[in-house]
Amino acid sequence: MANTDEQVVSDGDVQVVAFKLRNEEYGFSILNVQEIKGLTDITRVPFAPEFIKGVINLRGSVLPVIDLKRRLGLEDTPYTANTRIVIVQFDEVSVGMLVDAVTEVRTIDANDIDSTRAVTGSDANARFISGIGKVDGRLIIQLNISEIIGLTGEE
Amino acid sequence: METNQYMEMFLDESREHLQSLNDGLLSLENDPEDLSVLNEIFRNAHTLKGMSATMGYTKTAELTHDMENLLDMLRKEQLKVSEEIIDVIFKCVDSLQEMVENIGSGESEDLVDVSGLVRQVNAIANGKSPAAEEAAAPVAEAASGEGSAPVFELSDTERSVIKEAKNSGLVPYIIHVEIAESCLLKSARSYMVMNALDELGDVLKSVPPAEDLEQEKFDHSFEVAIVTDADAKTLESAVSAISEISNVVVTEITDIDKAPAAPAAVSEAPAAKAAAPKPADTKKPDAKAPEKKDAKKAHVGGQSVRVDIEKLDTLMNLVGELVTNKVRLEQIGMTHRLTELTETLEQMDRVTTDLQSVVMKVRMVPVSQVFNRFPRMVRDLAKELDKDINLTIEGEDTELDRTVIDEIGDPLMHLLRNSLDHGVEHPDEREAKGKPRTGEVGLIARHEGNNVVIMVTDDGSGINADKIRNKAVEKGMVSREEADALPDADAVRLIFLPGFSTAETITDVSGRGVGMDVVRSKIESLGGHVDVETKIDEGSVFKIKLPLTLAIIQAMLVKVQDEMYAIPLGSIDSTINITPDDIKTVQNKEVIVLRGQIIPIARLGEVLSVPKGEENDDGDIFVVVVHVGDHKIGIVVDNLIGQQEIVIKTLGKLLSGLKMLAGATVLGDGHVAMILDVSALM
Repeated sequence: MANTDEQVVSDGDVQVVAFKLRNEEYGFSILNVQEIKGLTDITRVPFAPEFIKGVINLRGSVLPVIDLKRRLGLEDTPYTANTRIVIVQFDEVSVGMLVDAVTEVRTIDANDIDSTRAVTGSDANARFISGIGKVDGRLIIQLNISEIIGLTGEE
Repeated sequence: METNQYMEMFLDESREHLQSLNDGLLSLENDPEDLSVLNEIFRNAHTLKGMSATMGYTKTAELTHDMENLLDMLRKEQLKVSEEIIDVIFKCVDSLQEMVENIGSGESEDLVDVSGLVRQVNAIANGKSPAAEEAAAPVAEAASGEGSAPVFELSDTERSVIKEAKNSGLVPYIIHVEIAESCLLKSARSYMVMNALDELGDVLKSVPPAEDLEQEKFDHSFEVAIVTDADAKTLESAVSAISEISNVVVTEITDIDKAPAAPAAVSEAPAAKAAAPKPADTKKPDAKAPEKKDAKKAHVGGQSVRVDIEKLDTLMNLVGELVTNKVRLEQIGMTHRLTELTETLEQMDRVTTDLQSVVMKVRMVPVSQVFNRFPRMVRDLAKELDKDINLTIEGEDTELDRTVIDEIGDPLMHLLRNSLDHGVEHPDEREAKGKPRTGEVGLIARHEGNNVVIMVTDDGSGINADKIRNKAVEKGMVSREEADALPDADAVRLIFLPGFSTAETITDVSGRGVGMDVVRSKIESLGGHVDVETKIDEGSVFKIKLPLTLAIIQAMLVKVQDEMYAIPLGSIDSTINITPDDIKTVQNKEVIVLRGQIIPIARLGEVLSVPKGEENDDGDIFVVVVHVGDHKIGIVVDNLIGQQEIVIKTLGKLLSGLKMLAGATVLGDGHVAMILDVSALM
C-alpha cells in the first residue's frame, strides 16, 4: 500500500495506464500493470465476493478478475468491443481488472496530482483512491491497488 | 565469498549428510564391527565439516570436527564402538541438525549450546580408554618417520615398466606429497598434482589409488610413482607450485627390487597396523575390501539434478498451455477440413502426452524421503518407553508426488508414535501373553491401482472396541444406544473423531489431546483416506490411501446450465439416470433409492446458485453419486460431459478458502472450470 502512495506523491513524474469506467478516467501506476488483455471468457466462481467477476485462463494459470465498476460502486454497463482486462500485479498477486476501455499511458507531473481528501471527503470509497491527476484539463483518478484487491483484510 | 547462492545447496546437502549419518549410526549400532559403515559415517562427517567451514559456519564445523576425531579413532580401532559413544554421536548429529535448521531459517548457529557435548566428545577421545593413547603413538610415528623412505609396493608389471623406462633413459621417482591441514578441497589439489605430473612424465601408480584421491579418501598425504625424463628439482617445483601443498619429497627409485620391501609398506593403513600388528601382506587386502565395496555403493545413487519445485510447476503450466493450444489447433483443422494439419496434430498429440507424463514423473519422489527419519525416531522412542521394538520398512521406493510427500510426514509420525506407545506392550507383558519380547512395528508402502497405500502395523495389544465405546459416550460424542449399536469395526473408527484420545495416562509421547482426528483431517486434505483394522492382542493396522499426485487427477466433467464443473473421479461411486418420479422426499429432503439404499440428493444448480436459464425438465435427470467415507450423496446435474484428466490449479490468495471448491482447472478449449470439493456437500 505504502508502495503505490510513494509512487504517486514522489517528486518525479508518474506514469500511469489510463482507462475508462463509464465516462470517468482512472489510472493505475504503470509499475503495477503487467499486461492488457482483450475480453475473454470469464468463469463465474460460486461463493466468491460480489465484486469478483470470476476467473480467466491467462496462459495456463487461473487468475481472478475484479469488476472495477462494481468495486467502486459505479453502475454496470454492458461489454463493448473496447472492454479490456488490465492485469495488475501487487505483492506477488496477479489480478485482472475489468475496465470499459484503456485510453493511453500518460506521464503526470507530480505537482499536478491532488490529494484525495479535497474531493472525496469522507466517502466510503475514498480508500480506493490515492490521488487525482490533472492532464490537459482531464482528470485521471489514481487508484490504490492494494485496497482494491482487498488483501489488507477489510471484511 | 558470495555464499548466498550456495546456501540452498548447503542446506540440502547438509540435511542429506545428516540423514546418512543417522542411518549409518543406526546400522552401526546393530553391527558395531562393520568397518565399512564406520567409513561411510566418517566420510559424511568429513564432508559436512568441509562444507560448513567453507560457508563460514565455524561452530558447526568445530563440532563436526570433534565428532570426526572420535569417529576416526573408532575407525582406526583405537576405540571400541560402545553404546555410550553412539549415544554421544547421536546427540552431536541432533545438535548439528538443529544448527543447520537454524541457519536455514536465517538465525545464528550459536543458538545451540554445544559446549557440554564438545567436552563429552573430547573426554571420550582423550584417554577415556588408555588403549587409545597407546594406539595413537605409533600412528604419529608412522606419519613423521616417512619423509625419506619411499613407502611403496610395486607389482611385477610396474617393476618391469620401470626397468624398461630405465633402459630408455628415463628416471623413476617416488613423490611424497603432503597437503596443508587446512585444505578443504583435498581431492581438487590432488587432482592438480596428478595433472601436473602427467605433463612431465608417466604416472605409474599412486597410493592411495587415484579413485580414492578423487573421493578424498586419504588423510593429508599421498604418494605417486612416476617415470620421467625431468629431474627431481623440476618435479618438486612443479608440485610445490600448486597452492596448499605443504611438503614435497622426491626420491629416485634406485633399487627396484628393494622398493617393495620398505618397512612402512602399510602406511596406507597405519591404523590397521597399530591395532593389530599382523604381517602386512595379510592385513592389507582385509582393510581394502570394504573400501572398494563402498566406492561402488556411492555410484549406485545415479546422477541427479536439484530443481526448484517452482520451476517444475512452471514447466507443468507450460505443458498444460501447450495442450490447450493443441486442442485449439485441432478445432481449426476440423472447421476448415485441413487433413494435413489434423495428421500433424495427431503426431503432436503423442508428443504432448509423453511430455506431460514425463513432467509428472519428474515430480515424483520415493517415500523413503519421509521414511528415512523414522528408524531413528523409533529407536529413541523405544528407549524412552523402555520397549523392545523392531521396525520393518517395506516399499520405500514407492513414489508419490512431491507435494504429498511434504505433507505426509507428520501424520505418519503420529501413527508410529501411537503404535509404539499404545500398541506395542512392555516386554514383560508381551512375555506373559506368550508373544516374543520384541514388538514388531511395520511401515509399508505400496501401489494399489491409482493410489498409494501406506500402512502402519503393529503386533501389539490391539484396540478394545468397548473401551472406545465407553470413552466416546463419556465424552458425549455419541449416545449409549448409538455406541452399542455400532459394530466393533465402526466403534474403533470413533478414534478418528475430533477430541478423542484414548491414552489412559497422558504420556509425553502421544495422547496430548490432538490425536487421530488431526491425522484424518490432514490425510483427507491431501485427497486421501485413513482407516484402521484391529484385533485384540494381535495388533492394529492403520491404512492410509493417497492419490498418486495432487497436481493431475481424473475427473468427471458435468454441466449445470452453461457452467462446467469437475468432480474428482476418486469420490464418485456411480452415475445414474433417473426420472423426476424417482425423487422422493423424507422430511422435506429429497432422496433417491439406489439399490435399496436411501441417498440424499443435492441439486448442484441450487447449491452453487447458478443463474437460472431455461428449464429442461423434459424427463431425464442425471445424478452423480459421490461418497466421503461411508456417506453418500447424489449430485443432480443437467448433463454429463465425460471423464477427463485435469490439472488442478489453485484459485490464488484472493479466492482462497471458498467452500465447496477444491480449485480450478483449464479445460482443453481454454475455459476455466471449477473443481468441486464434494466433502463440503455432506
